[in-house]
Amino acid sequence: MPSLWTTLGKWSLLGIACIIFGFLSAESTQAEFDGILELSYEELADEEMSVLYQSWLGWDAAIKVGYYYRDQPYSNLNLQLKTPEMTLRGAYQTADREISSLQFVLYERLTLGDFRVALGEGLIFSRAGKQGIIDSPAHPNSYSPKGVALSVALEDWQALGVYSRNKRAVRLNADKISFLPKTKQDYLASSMESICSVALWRNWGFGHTGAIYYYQRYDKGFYSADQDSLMQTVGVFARADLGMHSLSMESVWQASDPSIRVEWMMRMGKFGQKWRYTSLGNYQRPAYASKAALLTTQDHRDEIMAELSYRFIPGLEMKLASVQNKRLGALTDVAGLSHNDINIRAWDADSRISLSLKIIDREILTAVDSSYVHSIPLHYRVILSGAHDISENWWLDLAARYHYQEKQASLSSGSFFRQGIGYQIPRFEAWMGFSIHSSTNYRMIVLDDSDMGYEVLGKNSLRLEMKTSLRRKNGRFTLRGRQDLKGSQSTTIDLNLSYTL
Amino acid sequence: MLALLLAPVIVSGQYNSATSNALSGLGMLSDSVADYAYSPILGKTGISSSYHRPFNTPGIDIFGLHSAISKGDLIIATGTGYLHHEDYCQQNPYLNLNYGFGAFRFGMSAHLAYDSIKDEDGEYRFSYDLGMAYSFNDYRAEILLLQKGQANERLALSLGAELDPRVSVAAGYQIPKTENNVLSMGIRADLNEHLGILSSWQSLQNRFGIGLAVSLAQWTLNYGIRSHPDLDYSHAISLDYSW
Repeated sequence: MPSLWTTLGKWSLLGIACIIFGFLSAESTQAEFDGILELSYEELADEEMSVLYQSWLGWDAAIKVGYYYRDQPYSNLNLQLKTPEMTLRGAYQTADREISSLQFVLYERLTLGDFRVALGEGLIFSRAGKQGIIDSPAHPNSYSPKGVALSVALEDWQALGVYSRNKRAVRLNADKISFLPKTKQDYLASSMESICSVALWRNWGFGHTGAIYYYQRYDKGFYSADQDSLMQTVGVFARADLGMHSLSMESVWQASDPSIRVEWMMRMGKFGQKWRYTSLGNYQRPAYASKAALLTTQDHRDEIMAELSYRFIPGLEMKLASVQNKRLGALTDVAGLSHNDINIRAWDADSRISLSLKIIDREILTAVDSSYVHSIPLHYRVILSGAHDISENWWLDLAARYHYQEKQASLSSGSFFRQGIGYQIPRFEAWMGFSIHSSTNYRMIVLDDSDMGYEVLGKNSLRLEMKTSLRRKNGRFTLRGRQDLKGSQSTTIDLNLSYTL
Repeated sequence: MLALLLAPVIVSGQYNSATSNALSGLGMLSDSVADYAYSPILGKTGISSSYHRPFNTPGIDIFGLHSAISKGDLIIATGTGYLHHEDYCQQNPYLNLNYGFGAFRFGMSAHLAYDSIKDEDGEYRFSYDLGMAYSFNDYRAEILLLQKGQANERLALSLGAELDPRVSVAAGYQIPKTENNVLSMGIRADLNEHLGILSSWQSLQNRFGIGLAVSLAQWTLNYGIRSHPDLDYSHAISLDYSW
């Protein structure tokens, strides 16, 4: 039991942060909602690809070459060529084996090769924004549909057809699929995946309504009785953008019990909110659907997510977010999960600071005698980041996080601390600092700007880090290095060169 | 093995910055932001990187990086020390806020210390420092509550005076929660705008400290050495940039 003084001290620390925020005031540079979850990182690499191709939208030709030196070095190449009639996008990566993706788009209607589909609320394909689209290829290490996609528009009507055949690596058990990896991995076995889908929707000016049919088949059966190698799904989806309000929904039927996701988002001056309700009945996640529920991969679940944001004054904003997930119809469900987040952000002309507190339910199964005991030990995370411009050219930055884990089985608490100093002049930027992570046996995931979007830290270590970037006309060169000074003594270097025409 | 046994002792009873090493922790005489680790009311801004070799023990190195910025009368400081040894690691990141109001300065630091042996049994400990200072003409008084919530919690009282624009003296009295009280005294003499000498003495254990501060514009290179009745000298060096 912590003493009164210790408790007072912790609250005083929170007070310190609040006072810091109170002293910072000016205009914000970002105001959009961002995700509250830290546990969902499987799509980060694909999002990095989307950001890259988005940044190339206005260019006829673009290339990016990257080399990543580490224990298992790899290199990659991204390319885009564009004319008024067609667009060619490609990615190539070498590591222990070569992987690639290639996309050819004709008249912005017909897509051949690798692509992604964003439509509806993400129960069948990935989640769309205002309109369903055929998107750029995924990260070459991720599986995505491979085949042909056709998008046709006639007055207010729009249709989308997708056909994909993809040979995917699988792990087998008794000649049945026991595991279907999301990323390309070396397994001895593979299975042919066939997907066919047709969607039709009508645009109403303020939104759209539509329907979709989806067919998916693997040439091998699944080991789990909950998964079927043949899946047929029908669904309806709709969206309405009504000024400050946005409403969207998608409902799908598979074998029985429909699944539904409904979202309401509102932004009004200083105040914003988003509510999302997901009810998963008998639901098998289609191969390229978004993660249906944020906190679990199981079906027969109910999930409510709420995000609220409020800007007190220019330069001071607070966000609250919560996700609750429980089994359908279980009034006394002990396996109910939640994820809560409080974030305070403050900024002014020369300083930025952000403080988050996340309380996360993590299910732990502990072996006791010959059985397992289920528990959800207390787990919270305190995340602090900030930067301050010392002068026109120099800045300081700091990132720190502490993950508290109530002692359970072999899990332990962890922390990460990074501090550095940067220098910038037009077209050139350099940063140098160090980081310490002390996570003992806990694998800590920290977002970074590598092509995967994150890195996994384990054990204790001290690292020296540096980063530099140079821009000249249409070219950009970035170099990042990290030297482990303890433990593995490993060196990692990320080298990127991009050029646009 | 000796280094491993010494490591926890080093952490609890040692000052890691060059200035605190030379001044026996009398932060009143220090102008290095590295000393926010020991004094929440330093009132300085800048950046400091430090290296400390306690008792000249092979294999134990303590690195530090500290910085402080000001927002009006408010100063926000942060930093950490990192003890590196093959079999033992210790770190002490902290966040400090100190505020000047007329002749007063108030400050608070929150520490999250961590240590582990051979990457096993890692343990986090939370503690905090509180402090208040009052200045009157050439005199200054400080009261500090340090490492609250830890075994080495202590109350520190200090008095100081500026005898001359280039000579300052201070005396401190520490009242630890569990150990004997400690008296310390220090002096800082700036010979010219580029060179300063720092010296100190403390009782229980009887230890002396001496150091040099070489300044050029906003840069300062500090070196501090401190004796111990039984062990070898402790050496620390730091490079500071102030703004």
